[in-house]
Amino acid sequence: MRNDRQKSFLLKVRQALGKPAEGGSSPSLFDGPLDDPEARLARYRERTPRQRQALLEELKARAGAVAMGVSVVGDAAAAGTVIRDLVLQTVPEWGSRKRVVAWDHPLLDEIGLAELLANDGVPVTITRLDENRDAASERRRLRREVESAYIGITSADFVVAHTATMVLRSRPGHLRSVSLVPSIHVCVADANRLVADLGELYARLQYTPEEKKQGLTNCLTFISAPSKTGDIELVMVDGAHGPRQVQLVLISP
Amino acid sequence: MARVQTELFNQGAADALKDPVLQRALAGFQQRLGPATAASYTGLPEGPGLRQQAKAVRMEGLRHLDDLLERLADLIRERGGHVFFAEDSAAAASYCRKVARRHNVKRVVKGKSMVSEEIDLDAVLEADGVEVVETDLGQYIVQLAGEPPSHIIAPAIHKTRHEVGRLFAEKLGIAYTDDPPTLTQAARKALREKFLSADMGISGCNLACAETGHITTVSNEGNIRMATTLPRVHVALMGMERIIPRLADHDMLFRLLARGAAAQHMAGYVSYIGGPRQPAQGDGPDEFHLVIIDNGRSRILADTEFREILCCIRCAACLNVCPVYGKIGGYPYGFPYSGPVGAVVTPLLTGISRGKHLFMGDPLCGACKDACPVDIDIPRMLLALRRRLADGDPAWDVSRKYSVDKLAFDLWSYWIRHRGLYEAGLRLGAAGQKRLAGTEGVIESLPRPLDGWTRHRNLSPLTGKSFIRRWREHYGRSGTETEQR
Repeated sequence: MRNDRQKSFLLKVRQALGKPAEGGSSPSLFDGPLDDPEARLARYRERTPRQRQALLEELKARAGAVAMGVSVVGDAAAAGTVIRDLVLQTVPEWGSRKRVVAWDHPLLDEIGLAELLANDGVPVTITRLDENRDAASERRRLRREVESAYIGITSADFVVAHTATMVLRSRPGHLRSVSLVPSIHVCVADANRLVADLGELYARLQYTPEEKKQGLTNCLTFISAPSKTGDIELVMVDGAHGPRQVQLVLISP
Repeated sequence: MARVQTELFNQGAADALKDPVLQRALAGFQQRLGPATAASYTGLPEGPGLRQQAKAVRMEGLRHLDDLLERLADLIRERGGHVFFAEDSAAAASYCRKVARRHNVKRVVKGKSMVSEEIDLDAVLEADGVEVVETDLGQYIVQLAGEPPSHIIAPAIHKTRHEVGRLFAEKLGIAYTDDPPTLTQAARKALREKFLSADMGISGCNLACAETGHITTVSNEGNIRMATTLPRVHVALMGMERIIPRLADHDMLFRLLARGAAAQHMAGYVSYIGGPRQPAQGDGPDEFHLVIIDNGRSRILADTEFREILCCIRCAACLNVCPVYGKIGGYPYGFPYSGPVGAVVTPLLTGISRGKHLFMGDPLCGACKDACPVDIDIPRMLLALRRRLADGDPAWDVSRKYSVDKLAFDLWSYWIRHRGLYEAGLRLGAAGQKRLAGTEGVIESLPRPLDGWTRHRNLSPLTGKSFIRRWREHYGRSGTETEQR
């Protein structure tokens, strides 16, 4: 039934295109002609420290233009300081209690968020499913934690300088809602994940073996600004539905 | 299918011009968006020529559309998603209703989707007792007001902040304010509750990628991410043409889309969605359904003169520069797709004869082509539509009509191709016009039914000799420089 429907639909498309009823696949379409992924990959591989620094500056300028914060720090401890300052300076939008939710991620483990914020009385929930408990109820528990947090902390698989874009894959422990539901989104990434532009990003995703193996996952998210809208008389307002504030923390030893 | 009211275009346009509130709301928005988009194209590292490249990619995708859709469906099913091919709007809407029923859905949150307007999905679900909440701020405003969207990406562009303020005071019970940040915050609060409690999320699809098997959603507000992440079911609707072959092609297309839509470098959010929550993941919908919709698109695809309109990525750049749209807004177009793109795609989807006023009412100034991020030649297709209307085309159910215009032009054509008859007519006219000549030797008024020609101008009298005849009298029958050239 499903197949019949799909078949007759695609047959109509083939007829519209003047093709024979039996469709052949177009495999060559996916082999090229890309402009030259190797050139873009090499550009990334061979980037000098000076060029990397220039990219960082460009990222800061682009992010500044869309009201996104960027901090460049030397190590995990310094990243922790940036996060703690943010926690101390900001207040929850919805409730009165300060709560933080964070991805289950090695970079964030290194910062040790829970210990860092313990003295300030701010609880930190790591979005890890407890394998010994029922998965569905664990998901419900994490959902409640995400909803009640005012800061969500994630990491990025890539950061794109030209468009000030954070690129996040979805994985176990890396909940999509952490970068979305809390009022403030903090993203901590290693500076070596910085690429120049979308072309370089797509080349890395497609043509480096370790990235290709992971693929885009079931949900790859690009975040290039705080949530905003201009739907009332084109007046730009930050904080439409997603985070009102976005802070990128890059660790560059 | 959404109600089609294209035949009312002329009346709607006349009413719009007389509506002072609409004129106030529309004043100035084009000056803010149009030039900014034009400047953003020149700022592209590759230069404005990137628009032509992007069109080539879109056209290439259309030529392989069957294979691309099959690959997309295969890859999404591999990840546990469902794919439904809907030949028309009824099939698409009833599939969505079936999914909603199976999951006992009470509340749906929607990301703005023009194709959902096209198939009139909200009405179908609401008739089933489902609460449907639009979550794009502009779309939420028009939903509260009980109106359809009037612009492809800024649905409430026809409303002033005062109107929004009054609407929110009435519907959301807040104190009246016309401050956009305060109004936005009120909507944020109201809609957050809806997002957190919805059972199903519905989105459109911006440009799917066949190579990796993902749809993409694009927004600045984050509402589409909310609607596709939090509820347990996600249904995505996609016009079948919204797909490109390779991931790398998204590089130029997303940058062009952001420029065309809002003169941005990049949209705030882009998501690649290729299936439901995977095992061991902590959030995301349990089920993902993709509905791929034809609803008249295959007929457009088959017509090589109009296939190009399927390259459209619905950024609304053409609305933001069109002198007609700028004065009348979106409603007179009588279907969700308005402006120059609507003047082409709406008649093609809903009937050329019925929607003729849309393409007859466009001035052919060419601003839409210059503004289009994928360089679609809308003026060419507006003319092609006029030609189809005049000549008739059974493939589009357009019959050739013998109108008075047509008869007059056919007579004219016969007359000027028969030299003797033409000269005789001129002599006759010159003799007959003596009665018409007014002061200063010009004709100031013609009798009915030709009086329209002289209502706003005077006509020079006929000379009684054609140009060709005078030329021959002057230079002889042959051997002139002009003829030899």
